[in-house]
Amino acid sequence: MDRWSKWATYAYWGLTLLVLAYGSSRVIQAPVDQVAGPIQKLIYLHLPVAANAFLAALVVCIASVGYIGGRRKVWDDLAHAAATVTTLNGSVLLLTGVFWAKVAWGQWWVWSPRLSFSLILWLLYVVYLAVRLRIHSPQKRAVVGAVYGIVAFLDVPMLYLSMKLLPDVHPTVTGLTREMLPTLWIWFAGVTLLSCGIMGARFALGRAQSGEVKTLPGEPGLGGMAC
Amino acid sequence: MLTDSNATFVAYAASLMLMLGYALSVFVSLGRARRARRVPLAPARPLVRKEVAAAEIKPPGRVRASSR
Repeated sequence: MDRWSKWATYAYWGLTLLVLAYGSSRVIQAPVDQVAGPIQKLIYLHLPVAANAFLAALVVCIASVGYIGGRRKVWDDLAHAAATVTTLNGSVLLLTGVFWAKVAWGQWWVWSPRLSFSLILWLLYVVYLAVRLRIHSPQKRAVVGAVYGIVAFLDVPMLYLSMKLLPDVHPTVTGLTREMLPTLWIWFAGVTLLSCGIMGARFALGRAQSGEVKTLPGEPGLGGMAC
Repeated sequence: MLTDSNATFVAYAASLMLMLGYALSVFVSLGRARRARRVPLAPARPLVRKEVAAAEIKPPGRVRASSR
């Protein structure tokens, strides 16, 4: 890594942390919703992670199609990086969702269509990462991952259709007032910067691991250091 | 008791710790991978005559008559 790219990386992560810190301070100062109470403030995180999870799932699908088309390792590394971001954002989506459900509905989980499809989405990408860990041949792993990545994406349109077609207890409107919207956009920026940064770092790690990596005798290999 | 404010704070803190913690773990792994790439393998040392002789495959010994 040359000096400029190193400084660009530092600047990027500094900006990301700054936006997230500013977003946090905005959440504290944001007006409390008269009906829902303070728990409504979770929407500032819940919506951006949902959008980023779906976008990352789309990247997995596109990269998987790219791998099937060209059989280049770079597409497989991109799909793997995007799948980790989908899983991570999906985890936060479910975490914020269950806290909101406990306070708003009195129970941690309700088997509504939208919640069920969100859980299925998260499970699909957890299994994607688990399956990749179990296949040792790089070519076989990439082919299985590509086919799986395309099929797993089908859950996203199903989730969208369930919102439109099926009756659900999940709220369909955010209920944000005009003074609440800037805080939401700041969180959108922060979570998107964080997701892109993690995807870029995981992609770089995949590239470094797939290259000719030399290790000292007695040192563990690089495989399996991060999932 | 899980109040509104507690739940909001815990959810935000847990989510940020999860995401930033994962980002940190990827960076640590990336740093290790890059360091490992920079470290060259130890150059191969030519074997000395004694080691060459030790590495040679010796013919199997004769089967003793008493073992038949």
